[in-house]
Amino acid sequence: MDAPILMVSHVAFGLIGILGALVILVDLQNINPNNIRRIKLLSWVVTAGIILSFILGGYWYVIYYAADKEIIKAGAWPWAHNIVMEVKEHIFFMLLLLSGFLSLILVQLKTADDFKYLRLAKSVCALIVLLGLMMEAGGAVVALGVRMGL
Amino acid sequence: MNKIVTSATWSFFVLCIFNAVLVIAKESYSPLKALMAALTGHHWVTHGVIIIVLYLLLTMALFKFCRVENTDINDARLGNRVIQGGLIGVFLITGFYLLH
Repeated sequence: MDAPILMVSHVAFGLIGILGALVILVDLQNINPNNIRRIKLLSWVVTAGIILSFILGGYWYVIYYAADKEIIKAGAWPWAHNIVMEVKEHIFFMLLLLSGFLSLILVQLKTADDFKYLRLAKSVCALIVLLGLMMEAGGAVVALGVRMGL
Repeated sequence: MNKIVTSATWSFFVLCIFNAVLVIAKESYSPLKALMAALTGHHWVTHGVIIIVLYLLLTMALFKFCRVENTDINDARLGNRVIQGGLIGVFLITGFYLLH
């Protein structure tokens, strides 16, 4: 697959995961019988989005990133790789675990009244949104790092 | 099903810390990074496989071996554990690369 298409897909699926987690977080704040179905459905969308983003981004990183890395390291912003990319590529593992964990928690959701893991589910969603935004911002900095090296 | 959520929560907490420790270990000891690269062709792929497999194994082990009375931990505490694990992992990894 073409490198730019891989990169755009990685970002797009990541955004789907982040936005899905944000919608679930808002829905959980106002949990009621009308939004349970949406919450459960979106939990699988979040899981699928993050996993696809991980696979596509990982493939791009392993196959195509080496050339960009050399440009960044020789450029004006070497820290875009030495700090930002290094942090991003390792924190993504936590995001991957969280996305699967969210679906596991929300499988337990049957009715609004007896859901025992409301706080846990909200914490996981909040962390997915926070880490996801870090990933998006990190990706933007890495892209700028390449431009600064050209 | 309570046990599986509790097990997965603690497993996530442990793996966040382990992930950071593995980052620090492989970046500080180059033979380890070379070994990880040799196993799958790229150290990051090996790192990912280790994290995912260990997460699943630890979750199953905790599910199988932890006592039932230990799994009745309240929701807020589990939520805090997830946030704590995430923040510890982020601070350790970011701090390491800032100082590295």
